[in-house]
Amino acid sequence: MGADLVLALLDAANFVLAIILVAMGLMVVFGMMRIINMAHGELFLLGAYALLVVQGLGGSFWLALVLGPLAVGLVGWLLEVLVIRHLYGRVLDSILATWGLSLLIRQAVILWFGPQSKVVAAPFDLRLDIMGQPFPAYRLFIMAVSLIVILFCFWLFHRTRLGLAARATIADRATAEAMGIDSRGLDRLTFAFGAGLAGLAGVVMAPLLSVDPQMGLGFLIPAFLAILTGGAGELMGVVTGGVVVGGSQSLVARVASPAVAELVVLGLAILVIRLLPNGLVGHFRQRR
Amino acid sequence: MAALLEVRGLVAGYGGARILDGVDLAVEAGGITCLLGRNGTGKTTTLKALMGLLPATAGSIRLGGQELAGLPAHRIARAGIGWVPQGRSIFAGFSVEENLVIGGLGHGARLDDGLLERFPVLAERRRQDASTLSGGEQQQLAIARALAGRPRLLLLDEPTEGIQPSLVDRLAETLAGIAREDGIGLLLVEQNLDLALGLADRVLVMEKGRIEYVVEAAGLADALPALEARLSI
Repeated sequence: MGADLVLALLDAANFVLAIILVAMGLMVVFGMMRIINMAHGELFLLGAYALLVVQGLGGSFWLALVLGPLAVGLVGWLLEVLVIRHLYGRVLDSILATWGLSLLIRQAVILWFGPQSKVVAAPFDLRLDIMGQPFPAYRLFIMAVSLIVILFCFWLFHRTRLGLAARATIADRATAEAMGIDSRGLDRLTFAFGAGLAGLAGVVMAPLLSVDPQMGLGFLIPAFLAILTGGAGELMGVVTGGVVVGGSQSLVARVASPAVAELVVLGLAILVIRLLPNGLVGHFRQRR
Repeated sequence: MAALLEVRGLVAGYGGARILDGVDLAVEAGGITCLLGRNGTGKTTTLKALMGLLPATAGSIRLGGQELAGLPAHRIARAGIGWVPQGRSIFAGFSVEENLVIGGLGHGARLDDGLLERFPVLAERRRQDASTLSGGEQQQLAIARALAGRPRLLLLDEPTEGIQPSLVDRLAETLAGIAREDGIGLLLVEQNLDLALGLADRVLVMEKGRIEYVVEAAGLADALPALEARLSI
């Protein structure tokens, strides 16, 4: 019983951290620029294919872990300059345009790599013994990466001058500009950073998933749910939402079934969003 | 001596509406120029166009000889123009200190202690959320925040608005000190005629998007009736 509980919690923590890892880039882009990036899942996909390409050329996972996020960040930079910058302040248009981008990227991937799913290798295939049960060490690695990303984002936005400039721009764009802050430059940087995070998530998650052109969708929905329940617009929201959505889904799936778990999570998300439109963190922050 | 700020034929507006119709003005280093006028004559629009927050469709804006018209606001700020907006636009939810750091961010300037010495109230409350400050303290913060970027020229839009009358004199002293001690040029939009006359070494009156009347310091006393006539509703 003890071992079961520990494994259940470990699974839940793993799922929670994976969702937060995927949702973080989405959140940064939404929080900074109020752009709901429907192509985030496809940027995640590009990260996974970057790993495929690097491994195909004989490179190591670790090389892909560096190159993947950089390449996808560059794609994000180009998307911002070519498309996204025309969409600020137009929420519906931004959803449609980024959805269009998502189709474009997915079809490009199909043309290039074919529709079939591929397998990429994890950098190590170690199993740890956790209270008598085997647990893949790679999952612990993903959890560590996610924790590092979370801490890095908090540090970046709350402890650096760049983060302060970014938060000032979110708070009052015109005044920030008049203080000498290059808000356009920050837009490009933020979108590229969000895309790079998606790419990082793609590289790191790929060995656990089958790499195919549809893989972006599976994690995007829980990532969106996490942001909405936690409260869009701040880092603490995505962390809280990830814990609520990922934790309940993983734990309910274990005691009931995955289908029931999806129902429970969607129901829970609808309830939270209906009762607390600003999300959990947003709600309690306002009351303070 | 060439002026620090020289504006010639500045035209700007919102959409199709032409609010500024060829504004000419100048501010000297260490000088205080005060822009007066009735509501809706284009005073705030002039400041916004100078700051680049509203695109100038024609005309020239030169700061120390450098042409600024057409540049984005952050480049204009970095060229040396500090912004003290109407209503102060303090960053709420940020500490006093963070507000001051933000003022220097785009200029690569670190927060220096001299600034806090000049505004002891801000030094006392540096860790406090800026939105908890009183109106007068927020105004000091807005001015200090602009100074943190080490500007050559400050644009101030109604700095005495919403401030207790007892504090207006103190604020005027602060502004005079900034001009005289640091040699910073001040362009000030003001409704408070007494403050303007006490502080400025040049008074401009705006009417329908143009500067229609200029009085230099020496002539202020004689020009008072004419000024009052132009500003009365």
